Amino acid sequence: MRALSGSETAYIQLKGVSIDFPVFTTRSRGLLNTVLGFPQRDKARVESSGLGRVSVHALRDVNLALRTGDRVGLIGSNGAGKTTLLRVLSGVYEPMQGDLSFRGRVAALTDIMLGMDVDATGYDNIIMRGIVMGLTRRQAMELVPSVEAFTQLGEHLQLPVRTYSQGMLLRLAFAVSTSVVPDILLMDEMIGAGDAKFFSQAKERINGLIEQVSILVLASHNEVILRSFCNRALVLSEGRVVMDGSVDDALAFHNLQQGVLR
Amino acid sequence: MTTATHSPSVSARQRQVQLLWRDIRGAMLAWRFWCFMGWNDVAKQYRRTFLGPVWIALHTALFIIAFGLIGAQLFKYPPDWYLPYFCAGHVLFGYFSALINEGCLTYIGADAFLKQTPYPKMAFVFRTVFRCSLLMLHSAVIVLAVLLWSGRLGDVQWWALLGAAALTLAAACFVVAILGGLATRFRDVTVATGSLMQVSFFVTPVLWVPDQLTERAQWVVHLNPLALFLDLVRSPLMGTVPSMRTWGAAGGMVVLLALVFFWQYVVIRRRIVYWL
Repeated sequence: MRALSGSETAYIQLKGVSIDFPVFTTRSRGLLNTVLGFPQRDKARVESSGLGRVSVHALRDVNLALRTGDRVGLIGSNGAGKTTLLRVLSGVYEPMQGDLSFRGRVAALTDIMLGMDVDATGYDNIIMRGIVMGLTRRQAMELVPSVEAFTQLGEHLQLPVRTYSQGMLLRLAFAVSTSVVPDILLMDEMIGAGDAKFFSQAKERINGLIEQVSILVLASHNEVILRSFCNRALVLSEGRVVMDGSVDDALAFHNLQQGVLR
Repeated sequence: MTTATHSPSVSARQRQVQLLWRDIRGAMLAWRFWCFMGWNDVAKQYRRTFLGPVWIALHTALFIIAFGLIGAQLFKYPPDWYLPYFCAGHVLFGYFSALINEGCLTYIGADAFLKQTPYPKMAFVFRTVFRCSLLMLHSAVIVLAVLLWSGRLGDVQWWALLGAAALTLAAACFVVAILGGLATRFRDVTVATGSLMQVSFFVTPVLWVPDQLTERAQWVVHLNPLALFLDLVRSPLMGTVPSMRTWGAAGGMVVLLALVFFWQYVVIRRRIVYWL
Protein backbone atom coordinates (compact mmCIF):
# COMPACT_ATOMS: atom_id res chain seq x y z
CA MET A 1 0.00 0.00 0.00
CA ARG A 2 1.69 3.19 -1.11
CA ALA A 3 0.57 6.58 -2.28
CA LEU A 4 1.35 7.72 -5.79
CA SER A 5 4.46 9.76 -6.31
CA GLY A 6 4.15 13.13 -8.00
CA SER A 7 4.68 12.08 -11.61
CA GLU A 8 2.32 9.08 -11.53
CA THR A 9 -1.34 9.33 -12.27
CA ALA A 10 -4.06 6.98 -11.14
CA TYR A 11 -5.90 4.82 -13.63
CA ILE A 12 -8.00 1.67 -13.84
CA GLN A 13 -8.29 -0.40 -16.96
CA LEU A 14 -10.55 -3.38 -17.61
CA LYS A 15 -10.08 -5.44 -20.76
CA GLY A 16 -12.72 -8.02 -21.64
CA VAL A 17 -13.58 -8.70 -18.01
CA SER A 18 -16.29 -11.28 -17.37
CA ILE A 19 -17.31 -12.38 -13.91
CA ASP A 20 -19.15 -15.65 -13.37
CA PHE A 21 -20.34 -16.87 -10.01
CA PRO A 22 -20.45 -20.57 -9.40
CA VAL A 23 -23.66 -21.63 -7.68
CA PHE A 24 -23.15 -24.64 -5.46
CA THR A 25 -26.69 -25.52 -4.48
CA THR A 26 -26.91 -29.03 -5.91
CA ARG A 27 -30.44 -29.63 -4.67
CA SER A 28 -31.90 -26.56 -6.27
CA ARG A 29 -31.34 -27.84 -9.78
CA GLY A 30 -35.02 -28.43 -10.16
CA LEU A 31 -35.71 -24.85 -9.19
CA LEU A 32 -33.00 -23.53 -11.47
CA ASN A 33 -34.42 -25.50 -14.32
CA THR A 34 -37.69 -23.70 -13.83
CA VAL A 35 -35.81 -20.41 -13.84
CA LEU A 36 -34.13 -21.42 -17.08
CA GLY A 37 -37.48 -22.45 -18.48
CA PHE A 38 -38.72 -18.87 -18.41
CA PRO A 39 -38.51 -16.97 -21.69
CA GLN A 40 -35.41 -14.80 -21.42
CA ARG A 41 -35.33 -11.20 -22.58
CA ASP A 42 -31.64 -11.14 -23.20
CA LYS A 43 -29.12 -13.94 -23.34
CA ALA A 44 -29.47 -16.19 -20.33
CA ARG A 45 -27.49 -15.04 -17.29
CA VAL A 46 -27.88 -18.38 -15.57
CA GLU A 47 -26.03 -21.13 -17.32
CA SER A 48 -26.03 -24.83 -16.62
CA SER A 49 -23.02 -26.58 -18.11
CA GLY A 50 -23.99 -30.15 -17.34
CA LEU A 51 -22.60 -32.13 -14.39
CA GLY A 52 -24.81 -30.04 -12.12
CA ARG A 53 -22.50 -27.03 -12.35
CA VAL A 54 -24.46 -23.84 -12.55
CA SER A 55 -23.02 -20.37 -12.89
CA VAL A 56 -24.44 -16.87 -12.98
CA HIS A 57 -22.95 -14.32 -15.36
CA ALA A 58 -22.61 -11.19 -13.25
CA LEU A 59 -20.47 -9.20 -15.70
CA ARG A 60 -19.87 -9.82 -19.36
CA ASP A 61 -17.00 -8.55 -21.47
CA VAL A 62 -16.54 -5.21 -19.74
CA ASN A 63 -13.98 -2.88 -21.32
CA LEU A 64 -13.28 0.28 -19.44
CA ALA A 65 -10.58 2.89 -18.95
CA LEU A 66 -10.85 5.31 -16.05
CA ARG A 67 -8.39 8.18 -15.85
CA THR A 68 -7.51 10.88 -13.36
CA GLY A 69 -10.30 13.41 -13.11
CA ASP A 70 -13.05 10.93 -13.93
CA ARG A 71 -16.09 11.15 -11.66
CA VAL A 72 -18.01 8.14 -12.84
CA GLY A 73 -21.61 7.35 -12.00
CA LEU A 74 -22.79 3.74 -12.27
CA ILE A 75 -26.42 3.49 -13.36
CA GLY A 76 -28.48 0.35 -13.69
CA SER A 77 -31.47 -1.40 -12.23
CA ASN A 78 -31.13 -3.88 -9.38
CA GLY A 79 -29.04 -6.88 -10.37
CA ALA A 80 -27.48 -5.12 -13.36
CA GLY A 81 -23.98 -5.70 -11.94
CA LYS A 82 -23.17 -2.37 -10.25
CA THR A 83 -21.93 -3.85 -6.98
CA THR A 84 -20.01 -6.59 -8.80
CA LEU A 85 -18.30 -4.01 -11.00
CA LEU A 86 -17.36 -1.94 -7.93
CA ARG A 87 -15.86 -5.07 -6.38
CA VAL A 88 -13.87 -5.77 -9.52
CA LEU A 89 -12.58 -2.18 -9.51
CA SER A 90 -11.62 -2.49 -5.83
CA GLY A 91 -9.60 -5.63 -6.61
CA VAL A 92 -11.79 -7.91 -4.50
CA TYR A 93 -12.98 -10.03 -7.43
CA GLU A 94 -9.89 -10.88 -9.44
CA PRO A 95 -11.24 -11.56 -12.94
CA MET A 96 -11.11 -15.16 -14.15
CA GLN A 97 -11.51 -13.89 -17.72
CA GLY A 98 -10.06 -10.66 -18.96
CA ASP A 99 -7.61 -8.33 -17.38
CA LEU A 100 -7.63 -5.68 -14.68
CA SER A 101 -4.79 -3.25 -14.20
CA PHE A 102 -4.74 -0.21 -11.98
CA ARG A 103 -2.44 2.26 -10.32
CA GLY A 104 -3.12 4.11 -7.14
CA ARG A 105 -4.55 3.39 -3.72
CA VAL A 106 -8.12 2.17 -3.91
CA ALA A 107 -10.63 2.55 -1.09
CA ALA A 108 -14.19 1.27 -1.12
CA LEU A 109 -16.59 3.08 1.17
CA THR A 110 -19.31 0.48 0.88
CA ASP A 111 -19.52 -0.51 4.54
CA ILE A 112 -18.30 2.40 6.66
CA MET A 113 -18.78 0.49 9.92
CA LEU A 114 -16.49 -2.39 8.91
CA GLY A 115 -14.19 -3.31 11.78
CA MET A 116 -16.10 -1.41 14.43
CA ASP A 117 -17.07 -3.14 17.66
CA VAL A 118 -20.14 -2.03 19.61
CA ASP A 119 -18.69 -3.07 22.96
CA ALA A 120 -15.57 -0.93 22.54
CA THR A 121 -15.48 2.80 23.32
CA GLY A 122 -15.75 5.53 20.70
CA TYR A 123 -12.03 6.26 20.96
CA ASP A 124 -11.15 2.57 20.55
CA ASN A 125 -13.39 2.41 17.51
CA ILE A 126 -11.58 5.31 15.85
CA ILE A 127 -8.35 3.32 16.16
CA MET A 128 -9.98 0.05 15.11
CA ARG A 129 -11.67 1.48 12.04
CA GLY A 130 -8.41 3.28 11.16
CA ILE A 131 -6.35 0.09 11.34
CA VAL A 132 -8.93 -1.81 9.28
CA MET A 133 -8.58 0.92 6.63
CA GLY A 134 -4.84 0.27 6.55
CA LEU A 135 -3.44 2.91 8.90
CA THR A 136 -0.86 2.31 11.58
CA ARG A 137 -1.93 2.80 15.19
CA ARG A 138 -0.09 6.12 15.31
CA GLN A 139 -1.72 7.36 12.09
CA ALA A 140 -5.10 6.33 13.48
CA MET A 141 -4.41 8.23 16.72
CA GLU A 142 -3.69 11.35 14.67
CA LEU A 143 -7.26 11.21 13.36
CA VAL A 144 -8.72 11.61 16.86
CA PRO A 145 -8.79 15.43 17.10
CA SER A 146 -10.46 15.92 13.71
CA VAL A 147 -12.99 13.16 14.46
CA GLU A 148 -13.71 14.73 17.85
CA ALA A 149 -14.30 18.07 16.16
CA PHE A 150 -16.50 16.72 13.39
CA THR A 151 -18.67 14.33 15.39
CA GLN A 152 -19.27 16.68 18.35
CA LEU A 153 -19.69 13.56 20.46
CA GLY A 154 -17.66 14.98 23.36
CA GLU A 155 -17.62 12.71 26.40
CA HIS A 156 -19.65 10.06 24.61
CA LEU A 157 -16.44 9.00 22.88
CA GLN A 158 -15.33 7.51 26.21
CA LEU A 159 -18.41 5.26 26.34
CA PRO A 160 -19.00 1.98 24.55
CA VAL A 161 -20.48 2.51 21.12
CA ARG A 162 -23.47 0.31 21.99
CA THR A 163 -24.80 3.21 24.09
CA TYR A 164 -24.92 5.47 21.00
CA SER A 165 -27.99 6.28 18.97
CA GLN A 166 -28.03 5.26 15.30
CA GLY A 167 -27.25 8.83 14.27
CA MET A 168 -24.29 9.12 16.64
CA LEU A 169 -22.87 5.80 15.44
CA LEU A 170 -23.23 6.87 11.82
CA ARG A 171 -21.52 10.18 12.52
CA LEU A 172 -18.55 8.41 14.10
CA ALA A 173 -18.20 5.83 11.32
CA PHE A 174 -18.60 8.52 8.68
CA ALA A 175 -16.01 10.81 10.26
CA VAL A 176 -13.32 8.13 10.47
CA SER A 177 -14.08 6.61 7.08
CA THR A 178 -13.82 9.96 5.29
CA SER A 179 -10.54 10.92 7.02
CA VAL A 180 -8.36 8.87 4.72
CA VAL A 181 -7.90 10.15 1.19
CA PRO A 182 -7.28 7.41 -1.40
CA ASP A 183 -6.39 7.90 -5.06
CA ILE A 184 -9.42 5.97 -6.25
CA LEU A 185 -12.65 6.14 -4.26
CA LEU A 186 -15.49 3.67 -4.78
CA MET A 187 -18.93 4.16 -3.28
CA ASP A 188 -22.13 2.14 -3.42
CA GLU A 189 -24.82 4.78 -2.90
CA MET A 190 -23.91 8.09 -1.30
CA ILE A 191 -23.18 7.74 2.39
CA GLY A 192 -24.47 10.17 4.95
CA ALA A 193 -27.85 10.57 6.55
CA GLY A 194 -29.06 11.57 9.99
CA ASP A 195 -30.56 14.91 10.90
CA ALA A 196 -30.57 17.91 8.59
CA LYS A 197 -27.71 19.72 10.32
CA PHE A 198 -25.49 16.66 10.15
CA PHE A 199 -26.47 16.07 6.55
CA SER A 200 -25.17 19.44 5.44
CA GLN A 201 -21.92 18.94 7.39
CA ALA A 202 -21.57 15.47 5.92
CA LYS A 203 -22.11 16.80 2.43
CA GLU A 204 -19.38 19.36 2.90
CA ARG A 205 -16.98 16.71 4.15
CA ILE A 206 -17.74 14.26 1.36
CA ASN A 207 -17.38 17.05 -1.21
CA GLY A 208 -13.95 17.80 0.22
CA LEU A 209 -12.98 14.14 0.00
CA ILE A 210 -14.24 13.74 -3.56
CA GLU A 211 -12.32 16.84 -4.67
CA GLN A 212 -9.09 15.33 -3.41
CA VAL A 213 -9.33 11.88 -4.98
CA SER A 214 -8.12 11.26 -8.53
CA ILE A 215 -10.94 8.95 -9.58
CA LEU A 216 -14.42 8.54 -8.13
CA VAL A 217 -16.81 5.72 -8.98
CA LEU A 218 -20.25 6.09 -7.47
CA ALA A 219 -23.12 3.67 -7.94
CA SER A 220 -26.45 5.33 -7.29
CA HIS A 221 -30.12 5.34 -8.14
CA ASN A 222 -30.42 9.02 -7.23
CA GLU A 223 -30.36 11.32 -10.30
CA VAL A 224 -29.72 14.47 -8.27
CA ILE A 225 -26.66 12.94 -6.60
CA LEU A 226 -25.35 11.56 -9.90
CA ARG A 227 -25.75 14.95 -11.60
CA SER A 228 -24.05 16.87 -8.82
CA PHE A 229 -21.03 14.59 -8.32
CA CYS A 230 -20.31 12.93 -11.66
CA ASN A 231 -18.95 14.05 -15.02
CA ARG A 232 -19.29 10.68 -16.73
CA ALA A 233 -21.71 7.80 -16.38
CA LEU A 234 -21.96 4.14 -17.33
CA VAL A 235 -25.23 2.31 -17.78
CA LEU A 236 -25.13 -1.36 -16.84
CA SER A 237 -27.70 -3.82 -18.02
CA GLU A 238 -27.62 -7.58 -17.54
CA GLY A 239 -23.94 -7.43 -16.69
CA ARG A 240 -22.89 -5.42 -19.74
CA VAL A 241 -21.87 -1.80 -20.10
CA VAL A 242 -24.49 -0.63 -22.59
CA MET A 243 -23.72 3.09 -22.48
CA ASP A 244 -20.73 5.21 -21.57
CA GLY A 245 -21.10 8.95 -21.84
CA SER A 246 -22.23 12.13 -20.13
CA VAL A 247 -24.46 11.87 -17.07
CA ASP A 248 -27.45 13.43 -18.83
CA ASP A 249 -27.20 11.14 -21.84
CA ALA A 250 -26.73 8.07 -19.66
CA LEU A 251 -29.72 8.92 -17.46
CA ALA A 252 -31.88 9.57 -20.51
CA PHE A 253 -30.76 6.28 -22.03
CA HIS A 254 -31.42 4.38 -18.82
CA ASN A 255 -34.86 5.91 -18.32
CA LEU A 256 -35.78 5.17 -21.92
CA GLN A 257 -34.63 1.59 -21.52
CA GLN A 258 -36.66 1.22 -18.33
CA GLY A 259 -39.69 2.71 -20.04
CA VAL A 260 -39.48 0.32 -22.97
CA LEU A 261 -39.19 -2.66 -20.70
CA ARG A 262 -42.18 -1.53 -18.71
CA MET B 1 -4.77 -1.10 -2.15
CA THR B 2 -1.60 -1.61 -4.06
CA THR B 3 -0.25 -0.76 -7.44
CA ALA B 4 -0.77 -3.54 -9.93
CA THR B 5 1.11 -3.71 -13.16
CA HIS B 6 2.34 -6.83 -14.87
CA SER B 7 3.94 -7.91 -18.08
CA PRO B 8 1.72 -9.98 -20.37
CA SER B 9 4.55 -12.38 -21.20
CA VAL B 10 4.10 -14.58 -18.12
CA SER B 11 1.72 -17.52 -18.31
CA ALA B 12 -1.48 -17.60 -16.29
CA ARG B 13 -0.09 -20.24 -13.91
CA GLN B 14 3.15 -18.34 -13.34
CA ARG B 15 1.13 -15.24 -12.69
CA GLN B 16 -0.89 -17.04 -9.99
CA VAL B 17 2.33 -18.20 -8.37
CA GLN B 18 3.59 -14.61 -8.38
CA LEU B 19 0.33 -13.37 -6.90
CA LEU B 20 0.50 -16.03 -4.17
CA TRP B 21 3.96 -14.84 -3.15
CA ARG B 22 2.71 -11.27 -3.22
CA ASP B 23 -0.20 -12.30 -1.00
CA ILE B 24 2.09 -13.97 1.56
CA ARG B 25 4.49 -11.03 1.57
CA GLY B 26 1.64 -8.54 1.80
CA ALA B 27 0.18 -10.41 4.76
CA MET B 28 3.49 -10.38 6.59
CA LEU B 29 3.84 -6.65 6.00
CA ALA B 30 0.28 -6.17 7.27
CA TRP B 31 1.22 -7.68 10.65
CA ARG B 32 -0.35 -4.69 12.38
CA PHE B 33 -3.70 -5.57 10.88
CA TRP B 34 -3.83 -9.25 11.81
CA CYS B 35 -2.16 -8.81 15.20
CA PHE B 36 -4.73 -6.18 16.00
CA MET B 37 -7.63 -8.26 14.70
CA GLY B 38 -6.46 -11.35 16.57
CA TRP B 39 -5.91 -9.36 19.73
CA ASN B 40 -9.33 -7.79 19.43
CA ASP B 41 -10.94 -11.22 18.94
CA VAL B 42 -9.56 -12.18 22.34
CA ALA B 43 -10.29 -8.83 23.99
CA LYS B 44 -13.90 -9.10 22.82
CA GLN B 45 -14.38 -12.09 25.07
CA TYR B 46 -13.24 -10.12 28.10
CA ARG B 47 -15.25 -6.96 27.65
CA ARG B 48 -17.89 -6.63 30.34
CA THR B 49 -16.45 -9.50 32.36
CA PHE B 50 -14.98 -9.00 35.82
CA LEU B 51 -12.24 -11.63 35.87
CA GLY B 52 -11.48 -11.39 32.15
CA PRO B 53 -8.50 -13.51 31.08
CA VAL B 54 -8.44 -15.25 34.46
CA TRP B 55 -11.53 -17.21 33.43
CA ILE B 56 -9.73 -19.15 30.73
CA ALA B 57 -6.88 -20.09 33.05
CA LEU B 58 -9.32 -20.88 35.84
CA HIS B 59 -11.33 -23.22 33.64
CA THR B 60 -8.17 -25.09 32.61
CA ALA B 61 -6.90 -25.27 36.19
CA LEU B 62 -10.15 -26.72 37.52
CA PHE B 63 -10.35 -29.37 34.83
CA ILE B 64 -6.72 -30.37 35.16
CA ILE B 65 -6.72 -30.69 38.92
CA ALA B 66 -10.00 -32.60 38.90
CA PHE B 67 -9.13 -35.11 36.22
CA GLY B 68 -5.37 -35.11 36.83
CA LEU B 69 -5.73 -36.54 40.32
CA ILE B 70 -8.28 -39.15 39.25
CA GLY B 71 -6.32 -40.06 36.12
CA ALA B 72 -3.14 -40.64 38.13
CA GLN B 73 -5.04 -43.23 40.22
CA LEU B 74 -6.82 -44.78 37.23
CA PHE B 75 -3.67 -45.26 35.20
CA LYS B 76 -1.46 -45.87 38.30
CA TYR B 77 1.10 -43.11 37.71
CA PRO B 78 2.64 -40.88 40.38
CA PRO B 79 0.64 -37.59 40.40
CA ASP B 80 3.80 -35.47 40.14
CA TRP B 81 4.44 -37.13 36.76
CA TYR B 82 0.90 -37.65 35.48
CA LEU B 83 -0.45 -34.20 36.35
CA PRO B 84 2.09 -32.23 34.24
CA TYR B 85 1.81 -34.87 31.49
CA PHE B 86 -1.96 -34.58 31.32
CA CYS B 87 -1.91 -30.81 31.83
CA ALA B 88 0.48 -30.17 28.92
CA GLY B 89 -1.44 -32.65 26.77
CA HIS B 90 -4.79 -31.07 27.54
CA VAL B 91 -3.61 -27.51 26.84
CA LEU B 92 -1.86 -28.52 23.62
CA PHE B 93 -4.74 -30.61 22.35
CA GLY B 94 -7.09 -27.72 23.08
CA TYR B 95 -4.78 -25.53 20.99
CA PHE B 96 -4.69 -27.97 18.06
CA SER B 97 -8.42 -28.44 18.25
CA ALA B 98 -9.07 -24.67 18.25
CA LEU B 99 -6.73 -24.20 15.28
CA ILE B 100 -8.47 -26.87 13.25
CA ASN B 101 -12.04 -25.90 14.15
CA GLU B 102 -11.55 -22.14 13.87
CA GLY B 103 -9.29 -22.59 10.87
CA CYS B 104 -12.33 -23.70 8.90
CA LEU B 105 -13.99 -20.34 9.62
CA THR B 106 -10.97 -18.22 8.66
CA TYR B 107 -12.55 -16.80 5.49
CA ILE B 108 -16.22 -17.54 6.15
CA GLY B 109 -16.03 -15.40 9.29
CA ALA B 110 -14.25 -12.55 7.51
CA ASP B 111 -16.55 -12.20 4.49
CA ALA B 112 -17.43 -8.55 5.22
CA PHE B 113 -13.72 -7.66 5.15
CA LEU B 114 -12.84 -9.71 2.10
CA LYS B 115 -15.76 -8.38 0.07
CA GLN B 116 -14.86 -4.73 0.66
CA THR B 117 -11.08 -4.57 0.40
CA PRO B 118 -8.56 -6.89 -1.32
CA TYR B 119 -6.72 -7.79 1.87
CA PRO B 120 -4.05 -10.47 1.45
CA LYS B 121 -5.80 -13.77 2.20
CA MET B 122 -2.95 -14.96 4.39
CA ALA B 123 -3.55 -12.05 6.76
CA PHE B 124 -6.70 -13.84 7.94
CA VAL B 125 -4.79 -17.11 8.32
CA PHE B 126 -2.28 -15.34 10.53
CA ARG B 127 -5.12 -13.74 12.46
CA THR B 128 -6.63 -17.15 13.29
CA VAL B 129 -3.27 -18.62 14.26
CA PHE B 130 -2.40 -15.56 16.35
CA ARG B 131 -5.76 -15.59 18.16
CA CYS B 132 -5.58 -19.31 18.97
CA SER B 133 -1.98 -18.94 20.14
CA LEU B 134 -2.88 -16.04 22.42
CA LEU B 135 -5.67 -18.06 24.01
CA MET B 136 -3.36 -21.06 24.41
CA LEU B 137 -0.81 -18.89 26.21
CA HIS B 138 -3.44 -18.11 28.86
CA SER B 139 -3.61 -21.79 29.77
CA ALA B 140 0.14 -22.21 29.35
CA VAL B 141 0.48 -20.35 32.64
CA ILE B 142 -1.22 -23.32 34.32
CA VAL B 143 1.22 -25.74 32.66
CA LEU B 144 4.11 -23.76 34.13
CA ALA B 145 2.42 -23.70 37.53
CA VAL B 146 1.91 -27.47 37.50
CA LEU B 147 5.53 -28.02 36.41
CA LEU B 148 6.68 -25.80 39.26
CA TRP B 149 4.47 -27.69 41.74
CA SER B 150 5.82 -31.06 40.61
CA GLY B 151 9.42 -29.80 40.74
CA ARG B 152 9.95 -30.46 37.03
CA LEU B 153 10.35 -26.87 35.86
CA GLY B 154 14.15 -27.21 36.01
CA ASP B 155 14.09 -30.23 33.68
CA VAL B 156 12.31 -28.45 30.83
CA GLN B 157 14.36 -28.54 27.61
CA TRP B 158 13.84 -24.93 26.57
CA TRP B 159 15.76 -25.01 23.29
CA ALA B 160 13.98 -28.14 22.12
CA LEU B 161 10.70 -26.54 23.19
CA LEU B 162 11.47 -23.48 21.08
CA GLY B 163 12.23 -25.62 18.03
CA ALA B 164 9.10 -27.69 18.57
CA ALA B 165 7.00 -24.52 18.91
CA ALA B 166 8.43 -23.13 15.65
CA LEU B 167 7.61 -26.33 13.74
CA THR B 168 4.13 -26.44 15.26
CA LEU B 169 3.44 -22.81 14.34
CA ALA B 170 4.54 -23.44 10.75
CA ALA B 171 2.28 -26.49 10.52
CA ALA B 172 -0.56 -24.50 12.12
CA CYS B 173 -0.36 -21.76 9.46
CA PHE B 174 -0.51 -24.31 6.64
CA VAL B 175 -3.33 -26.33 8.23
CA VAL B 176 -5.44 -23.22 8.88
CA ALA B 177 -4.88 -22.01 5.32
CA ILE B 178 -5.71 -25.39 3.77
CA LEU B 179 -8.83 -25.96 5.89
CA GLY B 180 -9.96 -22.34 5.56
CA GLY B 181 -9.90 -22.56 1.77
CA LEU B 182 -11.49 -25.99 1.70
CA ALA B 183 -14.28 -25.10 4.12
CA THR B 184 -15.18 -21.96 2.18
CA ARG B 185 -15.78 -24.04 -0.94
CA PHE B 186 -17.29 -27.12 0.76
CA ARG B 187 -19.28 -25.99 3.75
CA ASP B 188 -19.53 -29.56 5.11
CA VAL B 189 -15.86 -29.43 6.06
CA THR B 190 -16.55 -27.33 9.16
CA VAL B 191 -19.07 -29.83 10.49
CA ALA B 192 -16.92 -32.82 9.54
CA THR B 193 -13.77 -31.55 11.25
CA GLY B 194 -15.81 -30.67 14.34
CA SER B 195 -16.93 -34.22 14.88
CA LEU B 196 -13.57 -35.62 13.80
CA MET B 197 -11.81 -33.56 16.46
CA GLN B 198 -14.14 -34.89 19.15
CA VAL B 199 -13.25 -38.46 18.22
CA SER B 200 -9.55 -37.72 17.86
CA PHE B 201 -9.40 -36.62 21.51
CA PHE B 202 -9.73 -40.30 22.43
CA VAL B 203 -7.32 -41.72 19.87
CA THR B 204 -4.64 -39.15 20.72
CA PRO B 205 -2.57 -39.75 23.86
CA VAL B 206 -3.87 -36.81 25.90
CA LEU B 207 -5.31 -38.71 28.86
CA TRP B 208 -3.41 -41.93 28.31
CA VAL B 209 0.21 -42.83 27.63
CA PRO B 210 1.26 -44.59 24.37
CA ASP B 211 3.16 -47.28 26.35
CA GLN B 212 -0.18 -48.51 27.70
CA LEU B 213 -1.16 -49.68 24.23
CA THR B 214 -0.23 -53.15 23.04
CA GLU B 215 2.33 -53.56 20.28
CA ARG B 216 -0.44 -54.21 17.78
CA ALA B 217 -2.29 -50.98 18.59
CA GLN B 218 0.74 -48.68 18.35
CA TRP B 219 -0.23 -47.64 14.83
CA VAL B 220 -2.94 -45.45 16.39
CA VAL B 221 -0.17 -43.22 17.69
CA HIS B 222 2.26 -43.64 14.79
CA LEU B 223 -0.21 -42.67 12.09
CA ASN B 224 -1.78 -39.79 14.03
CA PRO B 225 -0.32 -36.40 13.13
CA LEU B 226 -1.92 -34.86 16.22
CA ALA B 227 -0.07 -37.40 18.40
CA LEU B 228 3.13 -36.53 16.56
CA PHE B 229 2.95 -32.81 17.28
CA LEU B 230 1.67 -33.47 20.81
CA ASP B 231 4.72 -35.62 21.48
CA LEU B 232 7.01 -33.06 19.83
CA VAL B 233 5.98 -30.25 22.18
CA ARG B 234 5.17 -32.26 25.29
CA SER B 235 8.47 -34.17 25.47
CA PRO B 236 10.65 -31.09 26.06
CA LEU B 237 8.16 -29.91 28.69
CA MET B 238 8.50 -33.29 30.44
CA GLY B 239 12.28 -33.02 30.33
CA THR B 240 13.28 -35.15 27.32
CA VAL B 241 14.48 -33.97 23.93
CA PRO B 242 12.28 -35.51 21.19
CA SER B 243 13.88 -38.33 19.22
CA MET B 244 15.36 -37.69 15.79
CA ARG B 245 12.51 -39.73 14.38
CA THR B 246 9.99 -37.32 15.86
CA TRP B 247 11.86 -34.26 14.58
CA GLY B 248 12.13 -35.82 11.15
CA ALA B 249 8.48 -36.81 11.02
CA ALA B 250 7.33 -33.35 12.13
CA GLY B 251 9.64 -31.65 9.63
CA GLY B 252 8.38 -33.93 6.88
CA MET B 253 4.82 -33.15 7.89
CA VAL B 254 5.46 -29.41 7.59
CA VAL B 255 7.00 -29.86 4.13
CA LEU B 256 4.05 -32.00 3.04
CA LEU B 257 1.55 -29.41 4.31
CA ALA B 258 3.51 -26.64 2.57
CA LEU B 259 3.31 -28.50 -0.74
CA VAL B 260 -0.43 -29.11 -0.39
CA PHE B 261 -0.93 -25.47 0.57
CA PHE B 262 1.06 -24.20 -2.38
CA TRP B 263 -0.68 -26.43 -4.89
CA GLN B 264 -4.11 -25.56 -3.46
CA TYR B 265 -3.58 -21.80 -3.26
CA VAL B 266 -2.15 -21.33 -6.74
CA VAL B 267 -5.54 -22.58 -7.90
CA ILE B 268 -7.99 -21.25 -5.33
CA ARG B 269 -6.52 -18.03 -3.87
CA ARG B 270 -8.44 -15.67 -6.15
CA ARG B 271 -11.58 -17.84 -6.07
CA ILE B 272 -12.07 -17.63 -2.30
CA VAL B 273 -13.97 -14.34 -2.44
CA TYR B 274 -16.30 -15.71 -5.14
CA TRP B 275 -17.28 -18.53 -2.77
CA LEU B 276 -18.17 -16.29 0.17
